[in-house]
Amino acid sequence: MIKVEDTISRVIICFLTLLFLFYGFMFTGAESATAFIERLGVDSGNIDANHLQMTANLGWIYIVFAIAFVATLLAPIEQSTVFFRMMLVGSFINSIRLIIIYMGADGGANPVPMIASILVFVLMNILYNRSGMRIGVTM
Amino acid sequence: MFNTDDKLIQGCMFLAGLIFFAYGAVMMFNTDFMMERYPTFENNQTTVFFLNWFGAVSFVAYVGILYMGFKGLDRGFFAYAIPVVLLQVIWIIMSNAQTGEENITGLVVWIILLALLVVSRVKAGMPFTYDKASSAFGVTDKTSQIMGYIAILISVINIVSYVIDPGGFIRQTPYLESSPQAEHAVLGITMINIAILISLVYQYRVGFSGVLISMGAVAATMFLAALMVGSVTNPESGNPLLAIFIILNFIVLMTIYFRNQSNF
Repeated sequence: MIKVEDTISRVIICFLTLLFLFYGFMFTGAESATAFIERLGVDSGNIDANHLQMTANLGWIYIVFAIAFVATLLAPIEQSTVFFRMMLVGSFINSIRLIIIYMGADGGANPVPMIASILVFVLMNILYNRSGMRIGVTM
Repeated sequence: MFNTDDKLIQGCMFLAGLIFFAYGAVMMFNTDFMMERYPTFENNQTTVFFLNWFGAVSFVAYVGILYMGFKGLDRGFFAYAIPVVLLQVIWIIMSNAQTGEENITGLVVWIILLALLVVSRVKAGMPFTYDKASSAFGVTDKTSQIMGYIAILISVINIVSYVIDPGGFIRQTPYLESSPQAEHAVLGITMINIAILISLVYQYRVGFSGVLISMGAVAATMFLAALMVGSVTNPESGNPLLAIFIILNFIVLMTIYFRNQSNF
């Protein structure tokens, strides 16, 4: 059933699926999204239905990515090249952005999102390397 | 689709998948809609908790139909789905009797769902005799067998604990508030556990079923993610025993899935 042959790649894809599903569920639920935003240092009084609508939209994007990771697990690895490349670039941009936010004057309340984004970038790098997708590399 | 050219089976399975998906999506992601439809539902976190749980079960059944759409019909799916839908129909009838509820949409839809599944199974000509596999769960791998036994043990413990103390689950979960609706929801979850136990006993006799193990892996992942979200959102009001069961269930199902997935 699983077409990815490398065990470490399988583990990474499964971990990323769980991580994205976790963030997806976190953002789609109003209560959990509120708790998450509060932990970033925002007062709960400033969170309204429109904010929760936006986080729910974001949550669905995370859930779709979780489904995409499951799809990569079930397809031959070379068919996932474009998706992995997009995730690698996307996670790099995201992690740089969150590092800059964390380093900012009001951004240091909670480092977990920054750490999670860096972790995703590192894991995507490992996945990309192990799959032989980096241009110029022969496995 | 479904490895058959029979349009009736394809149509029935498509509609069954649509119903499972619709209920899963609404109960997991639009609980307000359900609460508006049923005036006896209290709009609180306990109701949301149980609606999410039932929604996840419906969604996992949809995943099973999706799986069979690619791989072909599997008797194992029906060994789980028909009992679970039948028990849910009984549970809805009990709910309506208790509350005097006039909204029978859910009851009608789930009876239709049951009919769709029964018609598909009968039309597919699957035998009702279940030949015994040469070894437990149809595998020689000891680890998979032990995990299968643990899965059966978890289901039995869940059912027995409900029989001994029906209100125990809510009492041990500070996040939940006790009410007649909440206690009835726990009965519904126990009925789902009975269907899971039936599917596990089926697999013990016939062998691991690709669709059931894949559904279990999806369910275990979703529940673990939900547990992680719950532990972040309400870190001091969870149920440690439930958390242990969810984590153990995840380990068991993932072990079975990854050790046997090449056969699915």
